[in-house]
Amino acid sequence: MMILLISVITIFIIILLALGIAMSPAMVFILTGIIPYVVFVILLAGFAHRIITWGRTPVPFRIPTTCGQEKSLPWIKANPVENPAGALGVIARMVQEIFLFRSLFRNTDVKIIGGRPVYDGAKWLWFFGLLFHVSLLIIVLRHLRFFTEPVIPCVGMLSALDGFLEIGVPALYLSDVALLAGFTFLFLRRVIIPQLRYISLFTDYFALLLIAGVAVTGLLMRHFFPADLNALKTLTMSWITFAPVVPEGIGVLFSMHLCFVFFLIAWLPFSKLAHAGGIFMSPMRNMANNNRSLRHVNPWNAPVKVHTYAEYEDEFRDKMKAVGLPVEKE
Amino acid sequence: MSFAKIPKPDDLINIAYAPPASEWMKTPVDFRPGTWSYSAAGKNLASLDLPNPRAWQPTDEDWKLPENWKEIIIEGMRDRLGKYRSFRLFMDICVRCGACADKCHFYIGSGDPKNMPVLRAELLRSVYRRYFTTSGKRFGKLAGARDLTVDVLKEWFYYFYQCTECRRCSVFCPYGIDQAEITMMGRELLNLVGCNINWVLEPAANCFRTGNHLGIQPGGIKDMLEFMTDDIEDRTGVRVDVPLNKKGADILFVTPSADYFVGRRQFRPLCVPRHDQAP
Ligand code: HEM
Ligand code: SF4
Ligand code: SF4
Repeated sequence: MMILLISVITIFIIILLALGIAMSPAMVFILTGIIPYVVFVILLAGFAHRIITWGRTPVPFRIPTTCGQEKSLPWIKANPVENPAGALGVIARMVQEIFLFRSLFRNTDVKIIGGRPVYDGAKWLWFFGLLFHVSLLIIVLRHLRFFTEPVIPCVGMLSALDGFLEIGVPALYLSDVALLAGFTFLFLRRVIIPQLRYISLFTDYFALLLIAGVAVTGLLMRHFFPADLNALKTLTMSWITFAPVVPEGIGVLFSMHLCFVFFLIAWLPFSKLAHAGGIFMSPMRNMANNNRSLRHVNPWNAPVKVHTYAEYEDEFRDKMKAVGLPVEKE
Repeated sequence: MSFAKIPKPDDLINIAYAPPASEWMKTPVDFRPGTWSYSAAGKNLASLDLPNPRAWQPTDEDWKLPENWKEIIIEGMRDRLGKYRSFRLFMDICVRCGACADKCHFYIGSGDPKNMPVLRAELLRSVYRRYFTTSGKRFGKLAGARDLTVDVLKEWFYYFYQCTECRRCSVFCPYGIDQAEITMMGRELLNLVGCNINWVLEPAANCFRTGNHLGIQPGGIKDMLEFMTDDIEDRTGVRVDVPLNKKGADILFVTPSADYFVGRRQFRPLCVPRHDQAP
């Protein structure tokens, strides 16, 4: 519980920082004129570093996890996706993992009932996990409207779809509700389930709280304390034209939103959030299982010390002769 | 395996899944009788050219590690991080979602939280963070890092030999994180300082020397095969000729080891504690 407290305090420190920044024009200049570029460079460099480090580390063995029948004799029905024999199967498998969280969908739980372990499906983690990520993706895509002029049509369409319920003015986005629902589930799960609380680290709470911080400040700006969208778009467009037009002052909420976002982006490659890249690199999922159809040689097969037949016979010659076994040397 | 009173089924199924009150980094390993294996005997280490052969048991206070054991382990980790992507990646990307937790039969059967694959991995990951990541070096425990100590090594020994490397956890993990890979790394590191179990090394040493895991010598093998041919003759009336050690034979027939056991009407479990090793 201590670390949960520390992560909440860290969030408050970021909020205070954002408040301080909003007070001082010099700091606003740094936050809106310099930090965006710094953060972007950190994201790209950090992620590239991660991917290159992983990518350069060899995978000496064929080690995909097989979750179905391997391709073998023609009359044995193989499962080409759960146990892919070639590139096509691997691609199908990866697409399912990335867009549908296939493995998480297998989730079960176990209870001891009447002196027996009883297994049951447990799909809630899969459902809310997917909800959380899909809404995160939609929200990121919707933000492209701040960075394109005129707004790319599909982004406009996505926003319209996302707000089709037309609850309130401006319309409430479904993805925002979904993100908060996902966050609430994932967070409560972590805090309430004793086993999960036991394994949780500071970063586990902090990652969720940071994303919630971004979402809540965003929602407040949209629905309760409307930000000046024209000024905002002038700023965001000026970023991508590399001629930042720094505003005189910024709202407190916008300052917080930016601080959370920048922190998230800069921290992403160095934290567990790097799973976004790592999932593509996992040999358990991205390798074809062709162990039996192709020969693979361990590149650093150490010189193995062997015990030769001659040595065996030297040790046991007398005993072998005593029971009448043929020997090579008398 | 170390001997314990054999529990009744009702006791066995009475599994408490609630984790203990003390956090895992502060819960030292408890070598309960019946839950660990005897150490690999020095002679087996020596015959396989493995480091640090000596007499010791996991319940000893002093494991007689080499002077620079810590350095050996950390260098061993560095070496393996550069050799296996699985190891490096799995040290970095676990989100502790817990999907793997109740998939491990060791956890299901024991309720010991360190048998949840995710926590078994954290035993090693915490040390990885401490020596190989900036955040771990700087923020220590807050970043989930901890120093490598003898107690940590003992914990590794206990829990890395309580994984059968079955890979079930990997099936359920959204990134395929495979505890079997991590267990292998953990055991390799333990081996660098001479900490293995006799269940593994005695058969290996026997195979190396005699070609079979029980260490049966040529005369014994011949006896058993003859016994089997007698048996076959009794049942079928056919006398089979068993050529042994025949040069240039066309077919190599390998009998399952269980046939040797049965043939001898004798069971020789590898776990019998020797008088010099009993705890
Ligand atoms: C390729 C893209 C990504 C994939 C396939 C992916 C997949 C997953 C999966 C399967 C989980 C475990 C289930 C769960 O707890 O929801 C997870 C957890 C998580 N992901 Fe992602 N993710 C991706 C990108 C991201 C990004 C970009 C972020 C944030 C900026 C993010 C934030 C999180 C967080 C905070 C958790 C932990 C949830 C918890 O604490 O339980 N993910 N991700
Ligand atoms: S299922 Fe995978 S990501 Fe989740 S806790 Fe287990 S090892 Fe970590
Ligand atoms: S590989 Fe090891 S940790 Fe994973 S489920 Fe099997 S025994 Fe448990």
